[in-house]
Amino acid sequence: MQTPDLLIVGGGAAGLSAAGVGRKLGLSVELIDERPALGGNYYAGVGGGGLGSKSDRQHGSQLLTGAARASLSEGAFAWRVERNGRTFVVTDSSGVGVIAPKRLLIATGAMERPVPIPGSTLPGVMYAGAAQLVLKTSAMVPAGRCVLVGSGPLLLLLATQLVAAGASPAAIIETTPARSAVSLATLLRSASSAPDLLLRGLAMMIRLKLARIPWHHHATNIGVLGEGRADRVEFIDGHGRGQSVAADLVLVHDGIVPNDHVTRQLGCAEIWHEGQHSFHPQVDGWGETSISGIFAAGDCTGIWGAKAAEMAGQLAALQIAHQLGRIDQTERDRRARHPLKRLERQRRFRPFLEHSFPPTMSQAATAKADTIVCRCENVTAGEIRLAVAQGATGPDQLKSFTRCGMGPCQGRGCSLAAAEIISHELGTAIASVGRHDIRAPLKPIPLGKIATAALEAEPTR
Amino acid sequence: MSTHAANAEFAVIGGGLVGAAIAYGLLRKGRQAILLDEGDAAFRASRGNFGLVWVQGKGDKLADYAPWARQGAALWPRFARDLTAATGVDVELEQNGGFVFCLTEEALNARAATLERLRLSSGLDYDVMTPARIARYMPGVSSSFAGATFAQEDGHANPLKLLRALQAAISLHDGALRRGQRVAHIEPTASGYRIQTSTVALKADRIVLAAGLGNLQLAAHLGVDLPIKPMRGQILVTERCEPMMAVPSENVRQTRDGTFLLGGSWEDVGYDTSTTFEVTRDIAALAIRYFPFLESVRLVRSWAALRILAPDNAPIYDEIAPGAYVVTCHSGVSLAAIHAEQVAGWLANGSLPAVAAPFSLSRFRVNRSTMESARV
Repeated sequence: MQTPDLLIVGGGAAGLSAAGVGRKLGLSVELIDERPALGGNYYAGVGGGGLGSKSDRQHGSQLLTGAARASLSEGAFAWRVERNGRTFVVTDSSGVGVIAPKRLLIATGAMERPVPIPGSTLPGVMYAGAAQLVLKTSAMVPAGRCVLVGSGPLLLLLATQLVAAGASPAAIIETTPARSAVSLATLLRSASSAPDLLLRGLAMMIRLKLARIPWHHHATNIGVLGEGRADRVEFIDGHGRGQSVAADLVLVHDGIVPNDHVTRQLGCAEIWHEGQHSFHPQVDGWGETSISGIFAAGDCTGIWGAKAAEMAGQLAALQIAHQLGRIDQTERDRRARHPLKRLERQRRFRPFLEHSFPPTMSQAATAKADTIVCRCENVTAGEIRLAVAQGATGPDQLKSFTRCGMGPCQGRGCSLAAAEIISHELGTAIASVGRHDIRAPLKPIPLGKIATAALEAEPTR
Repeated sequence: MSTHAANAEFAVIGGGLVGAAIAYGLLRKGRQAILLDEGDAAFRASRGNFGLVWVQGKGDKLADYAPWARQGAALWPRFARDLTAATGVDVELEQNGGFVFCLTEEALNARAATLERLRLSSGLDYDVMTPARIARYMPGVSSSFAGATFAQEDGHANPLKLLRALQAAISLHDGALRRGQRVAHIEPTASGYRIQTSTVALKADRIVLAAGLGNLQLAAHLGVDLPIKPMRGQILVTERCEPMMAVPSENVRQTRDGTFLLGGSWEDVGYDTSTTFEVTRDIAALAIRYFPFLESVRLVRSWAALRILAPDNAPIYDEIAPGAYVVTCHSGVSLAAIHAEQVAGWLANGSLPAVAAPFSLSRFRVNRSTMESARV
């Protein structure tokens, strides 16, 4: 059994930077990532020949180089994590292994905010983030009429990337509401703390305008229709007119949320973040969760972006090195000054994005009754409302009543939507509703791999 | 926090399978009852249940439990029909028999001897089968174990659907189902009991403690020490497969929607509801030994729940103070029908009949004094 000082789950910006700093400070570091290549979402494909801006690719390569002295495992999935840090890993080629680190850092990044809209389960509908990942890692572009639906910077970024790859979208249907006038000055002040990000956003908008793609704004009542396969998107446009746009592929996006399954399975304390409209694991200034010795950094703790994730990864590694006696407090604080400052600057930018791109079509509280909320178990918004009326007191009871969240995805796609519906139906704050418990395995694995695991797996701390 | 009082003839504390069956039964008998359900924070053994409607082996430590369990299974078909008629929820009852597997000849012989004893005392009908015969009921079974005992009266149901159906049936009665009500305090009054929950105070003529392990604290309010303790069980559930098994076994059963449930662990670990890798692995390995094809079937989820065990594994029915009843057992599914029918009937009539006597708390006091005298 491996017993490194630090095990990092996730090889994106946070994980890679933590691995680099950890090694530099003399820690033995293992890093596992479920994907076949490191880089996470933001730096996907930097190791190979993917897309992405030159400066991003250079920086991603630097992160990879920094982490290279750690023991890196790609295609390794942490399917069971225990509160003492013991982590069970499964790979395609071999069986189940266990790692018992002195400290665990969870850096599992972000995932698409689930979008429970009518027709979202039809073949021919996918998340914009997944399409972007394919584009970044294998430079493949969608064939046929591709329609982008939703809200958020990633949707527009993907549009420009598709244009650049010669596969202009057939239409963009933006669900972003008309901007409210709420304290624009404040927002500008927060945005001006990261002028580079703001400029990149503006450049993106200009490129898209120049591409002359049909662009619908302030769309509502989105539905994807088709017989057995998506063939059109229907919606009400910003002028109140019903519209229908033909599509071969519908890419939906309504922002991203923390991919927090590991911290949830562990039972880490969470907080509700109103601005981001999502639950976040509670962490201290160094990223330590409510379970001592278990750290989390990067977008799995809240959507702060790749740069912030990198800084958070560094801070976590510093604190871990300090806890394990590699550096004293003075040294830790000295090394933390720079990343803390940069982290703060990145975070100040977020309220601008949160305000500009609130969740739109993903809000389940008022979803139509026949909208499928839990794709694994085919549970609709109407069935959830009925179960609540019949006595489901919370998400766990709802899960047992309807199977909502019981499927192979463990509720990745439905738990927030279910909480929104319960909160709306019972008139209680979503923070107090919470989400259902997550159980091992975090993804399905063959029983045979578990049964034959020969492990002398004793916790080390 | 509102503190307005509400009055009820019966207050049933505990919204799991036991409390819900009792409250459902009381309401069906025309009594005015409210069910106080703690909600998501509860230990909720009902949610971790394996779903067997089981007879074979029950009563091996308390003779009167064997005929009681048989009667409980016999009442199930009508109970299920009535529930479905009232709520539209199909609780997926199947009573086509069930197996208990034994790896070794010794274990099989010991098991058969126990069932033979129960046959003589309670009329339990059972059979002992080799793997070749088991395969007729459960295709894909291996031949690398000694065999199994089979009882025709055994079966299974969907415990989650059962709880949902019971709560739905209760919620048809206006105000009968009170959610998110953790009981903080109980005290006797001149004419009944006063119950203080997190949000309300209410008065009831009679109360039924049916809160599983929560009964320990509730009974303590009335000065009674219950001899029950938690016993952890871990369960694995797989992805869906083609329906192939006509009957369940104690370790492996296929649900109506095609998933396999694997279980059978017993761990005395207090109130710890976490799963462990080691038990997960052992459950998977044993299930694969019985059914080798499960090797390539994927595990989707695992969980642990706490059984509520009395020293003889049998239910407890008792009146622990005037008008205050305790109902507790570890077989909330198997006994759901008889709780709704018979036990609710006793409570509605206001007294426990002679048939309830073997299940009273006094049986443990007798045992204790016997042990003490034996020690002297």
